[in-house]
Formats: sequence, structure tokens, C-alpha cells
Amino acid sequence: MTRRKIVTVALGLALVATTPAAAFAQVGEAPRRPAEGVDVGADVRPVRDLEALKARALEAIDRRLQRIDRLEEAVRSSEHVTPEHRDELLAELDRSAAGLRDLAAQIDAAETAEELRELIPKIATDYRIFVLVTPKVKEVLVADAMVDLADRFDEAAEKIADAIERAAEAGYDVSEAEAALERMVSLIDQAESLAEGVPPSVLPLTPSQWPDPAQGVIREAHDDLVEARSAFRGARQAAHDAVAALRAAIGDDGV
Amino acid sequence: MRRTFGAAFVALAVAGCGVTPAVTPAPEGTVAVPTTVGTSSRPVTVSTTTTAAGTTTTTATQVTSTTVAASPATVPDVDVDLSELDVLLDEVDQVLGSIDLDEAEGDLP
Repeated sequence: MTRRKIVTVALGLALVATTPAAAFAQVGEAPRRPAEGVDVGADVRPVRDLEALKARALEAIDRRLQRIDRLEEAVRSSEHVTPEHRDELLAELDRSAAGLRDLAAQIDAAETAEELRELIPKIATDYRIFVLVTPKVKEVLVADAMVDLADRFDEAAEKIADAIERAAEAGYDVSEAEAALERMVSLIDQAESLAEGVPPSVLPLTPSQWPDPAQGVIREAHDDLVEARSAFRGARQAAHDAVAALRAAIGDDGV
Repeated sequence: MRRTFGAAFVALAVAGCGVTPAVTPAPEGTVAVPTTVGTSSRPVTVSTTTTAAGTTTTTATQVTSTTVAASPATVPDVDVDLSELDVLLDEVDQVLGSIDLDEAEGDLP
């Protein structure tokens, strides 16, 4: 190699070493943090980048831990969730929180960009708090609330059936009320069946199953719950129709 | 219709209806406030008067006006309260509406 070539290569290496991207890759050898108030110029930029990266990663973890707290609160305060589902959801949330805290400790202790590149994506891929865990928890809570709601609808249907029976015994025409009640019961059954299928389909889903098949299962479960809600609304309307038909049949004699 | 009985007789008559009389001797020279003690199909109102000489007189008056509920056999009760269903349905709506399937994990550095 000629002397001129050697100088060119040396200058090139010096330039590369002072650019942020290249320096970022060698951050493991850099000092951790400069003393406050000391101007050390471009030499510490990689360290600042690494610390900033860690801070952002830790904030991302913190947002997920806050979400987990809110989900736990929702599960604990639910009046409708079954004990089995509550235990299963809380256990999963606890595991996720513990794993994220452990990951935060590893990120905080990382000394190279290489380590961070390996650790940071795990915040999403190993936990899927926003895209999977959150809708899963809410879907189970809604499904259990709907099963509970179906019981209440059944009770209302029984009361309406009793009223229809009393009116029939008194000689009133109850055919319209009976038809509405039949519609109501059918819609309750439909809604309950849709809701009951949701927890067994979403509870076993894990972050490693994202996006396929988990994303599709979560969306299907959501669609089922929307359909169940629509059936409940129809059942409520049918209940009102049945009572109105009875009142109309009884006319001025009734309440 | 109004009849006057001796206190003991009234106590026996009321006891026969399965009702314990709430007859308390009034202070001398005053008239006690009438107390309704009957809850049977023929309730009576009882009042006790004590004279200055210490004689107690108890009066039982039969209640002649009674509100009778309409027979369910002739006018069926079809009033079913559906408001609880509305409340629960709203509750379900709220949680279902809070599910955001478009949320992403896109906040990573």
C-alpha cells in the first residue's frame, strides 16, 4: 500500500468513527455517562443515544404495565366474570407484568446497542399487551356479562309467561303476546350461545400466535359479541312488545 | 255501627281474631287516641276512656270501609319491569364499545 493510500484509508476510518450511526454500533466500548457540565463533544453522543433508547423502551414497558393495572382492576371489579375466568385472566396479567418488569431490568442493564436491538422488540412480540391481551380480557368480560344478562332476560321472560298465562286463564286473547315471547326466548338463546363461545376461543391465545391465528380469532369473537348484543336488543324489544300486546289485549280492564 | 263493651270482653274478642290489643290505660280524665288493632277481614278501632273516678271504658268501632285488591283472576297483572335489562345492556355496550381492534404495539423505539 502506498503512503497516499494509507492516509486516505485512515481518514476514511476516522470519519466513519465520528458518525452517529457507526459509533452507535460500538457503544459498548464508550464511557457510560459524562460528568455533568463537562463538554466532551461528539465523543459521548453514542452514550446519549443508548440512554435515550433505553428511556424510550422503558416508557413503552411502563405504558404496558399501566394497561395491565387497568385490566386487572376491570377484572377484579367485574360483577359478572366467572371465578374460573377471573383466575385465568389475573394469572395471565400477573405473568405478563412480571415478564415485562424482568425485561425492563435487562434493558436497563444493557450496555450495547446490539443487546438493545435484541431486547426491545420483545416488549411487543413476547407480550402483545395492546393487540391481544387487552381485547382478550375485555371480550371475556363482555361475554360473561352477556351470559349473566341472558339469565336476567330468562327471568323477565318467565314473568311475561306468567302474565300471559293469567291473562289466558281470564279469557283474554294472548296470541300476539305469545308470539312476541317466543321471539324473545329465541333471541336470548341465540345471544347466549354466541357469548358462551367467546371465552373458550380467546383464552388459550398466546402472544406467539400473533398475528395468525390470534388476530382472526380475536376479530371473530368481537363479531360474535356484536351479534349477541344485537340479539339482546331484539330480545328486549320483543319483551316490550309482549307486555304491550298483553296490555292491549286486556284494554281498559288492565293496569 | 258503634258498640260499647267492657275492657275484658274486647280483649277476649280481639284475641279471638288472633290480634293482640294495644289498649293502654289513659291518664285520669283524658281520652286515649284511638288505635287500629284489627288486621283481619273485619278490623276494629279501639279507644279507652278513663273517668275521674277511675272507671275505664273501652269502645270498639268496626271499620266499615276497606280497600280490596282486584282479583288477578279477572284483571291479570301484566306489569313486568324491564328497566333492569336496559341497565345491564348499557353496561355491556360500554365495555364492548371500548374494545379497539385497531390498536397497535407501534410505540416501540
